[in-house]
Parts: sequence; C-alpha cells; structure tokens
Amino acid sequence: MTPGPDAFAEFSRRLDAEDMRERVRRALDSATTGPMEDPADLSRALEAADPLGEGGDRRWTVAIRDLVGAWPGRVAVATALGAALVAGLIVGRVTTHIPAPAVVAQAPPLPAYRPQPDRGLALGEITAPASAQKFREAMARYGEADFAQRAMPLLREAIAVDPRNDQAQFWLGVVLLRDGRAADAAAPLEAAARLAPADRTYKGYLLYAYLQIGALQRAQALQQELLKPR
Amino acid sequence: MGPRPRSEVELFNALAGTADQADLDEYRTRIRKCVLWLLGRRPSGELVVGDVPDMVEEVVTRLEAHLRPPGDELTRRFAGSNEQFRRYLYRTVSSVYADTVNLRVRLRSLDAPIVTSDGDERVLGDVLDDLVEWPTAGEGLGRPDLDAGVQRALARVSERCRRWLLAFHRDGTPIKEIARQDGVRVNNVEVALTRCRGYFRLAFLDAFLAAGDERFRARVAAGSRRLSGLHAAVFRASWTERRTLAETATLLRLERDKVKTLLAEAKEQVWRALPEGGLE
Repeated sequence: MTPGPDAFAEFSRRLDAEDMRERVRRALDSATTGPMEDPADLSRALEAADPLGEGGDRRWTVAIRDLVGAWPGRVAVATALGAALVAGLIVGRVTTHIPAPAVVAQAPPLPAYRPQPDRGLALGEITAPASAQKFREAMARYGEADFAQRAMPLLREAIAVDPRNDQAQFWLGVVLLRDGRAADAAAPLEAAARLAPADRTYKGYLLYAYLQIGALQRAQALQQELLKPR
Repeated sequence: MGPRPRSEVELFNALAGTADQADLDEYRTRIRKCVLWLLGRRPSGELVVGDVPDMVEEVVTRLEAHLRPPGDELTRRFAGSNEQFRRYLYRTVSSVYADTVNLRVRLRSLDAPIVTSDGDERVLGDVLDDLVEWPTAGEGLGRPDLDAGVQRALARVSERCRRWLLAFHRDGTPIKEIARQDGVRVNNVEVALTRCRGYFRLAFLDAFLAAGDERFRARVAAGSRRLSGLHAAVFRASWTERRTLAETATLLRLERDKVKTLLAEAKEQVWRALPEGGLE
C-alpha cells in the first residue's frame, strides 16, 4: 500500500517538530541562565545563622526599649552617657595635639636704601674704611634681582673687617631674613640694635626675626620697648 | 518592662483560633525576616527582590498545609517545641526561596535566542507561542503531539491562570471583561496574565521537550542513509548538523532556493524509504 500525501505531510510535521525540539535544546544549553539554588544548602545556612534566635537584632531593640521605658533605666542611661562624655573630654584633652605657636612665615619687606654721602663720611669716621668700602660695594647691588646672594658675602667681609659697622650688621640680618634664615639673622640684627640703639628700624627687623624663630618673650619685650614713647 | 515577645510556635498556634491581625502581622514579619536574610546573602537575591510578599504568603500556605492537621482549634495546634517549629520554618523558607529563584532562572531561559531552520533568529518564548495553537487550545482539535503538550501545561498552572489564559488567548475575551467577571482590577488581570503566560510557557516547554520520539529519530537516521549526492548532503546539514538553509547554501555553494527544494525532495525520499511511510 502506498501512503498518501496526508501521511507524508504528517511525517514532515513530525520531522520539523523533532528538528525544532533539537534546536530548542541547543538554545537552552548555550543560554546563560544564572545560579540555581539548592534548598538543602539554603536550609543549612539558615539554621546555622538562626536569624530568629535570641541573638537577633530585634531582641536588642526590645531590650533598649524596655530599659528606657522606666525612670531608673532612664537615669542609668543618662548617667552612663554623662560619664562617657566626661571621659571623652578628658581623653580628648590628653591626646589632642596642641599646635606650636604660630610664627610669622612671611619674609619682611626690603627696607629702603639710599646712599648717604654725609652718613658715609660719618660711617667712615666710626668704622674702618675697608669695612665701609665693602659695605658700599654690597649695597651697590641694591635693587638687583639677586641682591641678597651677591651682597651677603660682601656684608660678611665688611663685618669681619669691623664688627662695629652697624649698617653692615643690619643689612646682613635683612638679607638672611629674606632668605628664610631667621635663626641666623637674629645675631647680626641684635648686634645692629646694640650698636645703634636709637634706630627703630633695626629693632623692627629684629622683632620680625624673633617672631619667626618663635622667641615670643624676647619679641614681646622688644615690642614693649618699641611702643614706648621716645 | 514590656510584654515578652511571642515565639513563632505561639504565633502559629494563635492562628489556629481567632487570632487578631497583630498576630498575623507579627507572624508574617518573622517569615519575612528569614526570607530577607537569604535574599541579602545569596547572589540570586537580586532575581527575586520583587517576589518577597509572594514568598512570605507561600511559606504561610505551605506551613499550614504541612503542620496544620484538620480538626478543631485544639487539634490544629502544633504540638512540638518552638525549636522544632523554627526548624520547619527555616526549611520551608529555604524551599520556597529556592523554588522562586529556580522559576525566575527558568523564566529567563525563555529569552534565549534560537535560530530556526529558515535562518531566522527569534526568542524561545515566541517560538513556543507559535507552536501553541491557541484558537483550539484545550480542545484536542489540533496536532496530537502539541495538543498533548498544551493539555499537560494547562494542567500544571493554577486554576485561575488556566481560566484566564484560555479566556484571553483562545476565546478572545477582553481583559476588561475578565476583570469584571472575577471582580478584580484590570491591572491585576494584566499582571497575572503576564505571569501566567510565563508559567504556561515553562510547562509547555517541559512537555514539548519530553515529547521527543527517539524511535522516530532513529528511523529517520536509518532512512537518510539511503540518500545520495546533494540530497544526502543537504539532509545531513539540516537534520544532523542543524545548519540553516543559508549556511547549507554557503557550504554547498548553492542557491538558497535550490537548497530548500533539495531538502523537500530529500524528506520525501526518506519518507518513501521507510516502511509505512516512516510513521510507525
């Protein structure tokens, strides 16, 4: 018996269905679906953690509510909080770092300098001529960009020749101050102030030096002296 | 001091009688805590974030079914200790959580791309929808193998899902009318239909895959061995290697229409090569 066209159509449908079934299987195999869960694993984890147990966080909230629900509990909580505050303050005072006194960080302005022939003659009278010469050589650089670097060795030479040269002492202190070396500047500025006690400019720059090195007592004493009427 | 918190078994037993709403709420809160504990610690948690209320209700239902014997208020109480009850509770929560995650993962698989024999790339869920002949679904009037799958899938979804799916897809009842008949909101029907369609697709997928006929495939393989030349090459590429028409055409350096014709001829030759047309 020869099967009819309906039989072939049915065969073809079954063939197509089997083909589709295989393609669906392959699509499912290659699809990334995500983690599957095993109830036994979950149950073990849940039983071990026991989130409804006595140690649960809800018990803490109940305990706290119970504690502050009556006056003795409230007083106890307030006392404990007060004690904690006092202890915190004490610990804070002991451990908090107190910063060092602030010092003047900025370099002082460069004083004005004008060569004074009269003063030069006078200078010549009270200081050695070689020292005066070196001082004038140093101050000849005044106004140049590298004045401090170029004048410093000449000023040192002028002082070496004659330590009584108050102007050389003062300007050496000034260039050291502007170079950020306040500790080194204090000595020549003190010498200048000692040699010419009436010169308030010398003392003003010495005050700068004291403030920068944190010599507050000396700075206060010098300030008092400067504030005194002449 | 406030009243002592009630244990889980006390809450469960309270529900056997005339429990008030506070007891039920507290009972649900405890269950939710367990569900959230798992959800927050498992990588799968993000999949089921939106299912927490449903999971809680499912745990309540399962505990009722497993631990609540029929009878009066006294016999409907759980006789064991709170530790025993809690252990049941944890196991039930774990089981519901795993079922929900696994269902979500399976629903995701319906989005997998599938390449048909014609070379079209489609989503698996849409392919399954095409296989279901909704106009006659549930009536056994379509193709017997697929009808059986539809029947099995419909039997596996809930009664409400089954009723609404058939009403909407087979009978063409508007969603508004379904909502009116069941006394629910239109939005509820829309959301439920989307869910029900997913559950049905999964059930149908299982039935469809299970309906594979190993004997039929073996007979086709035997019949195909009698093919020769291009017919054998085209049938092998399609049936054995699952290539698309375009891929086969490229492989054999033929026109796509020619491959289609050759494949149809090869199918007929295989059919003729089998006794009784390969159907038995």
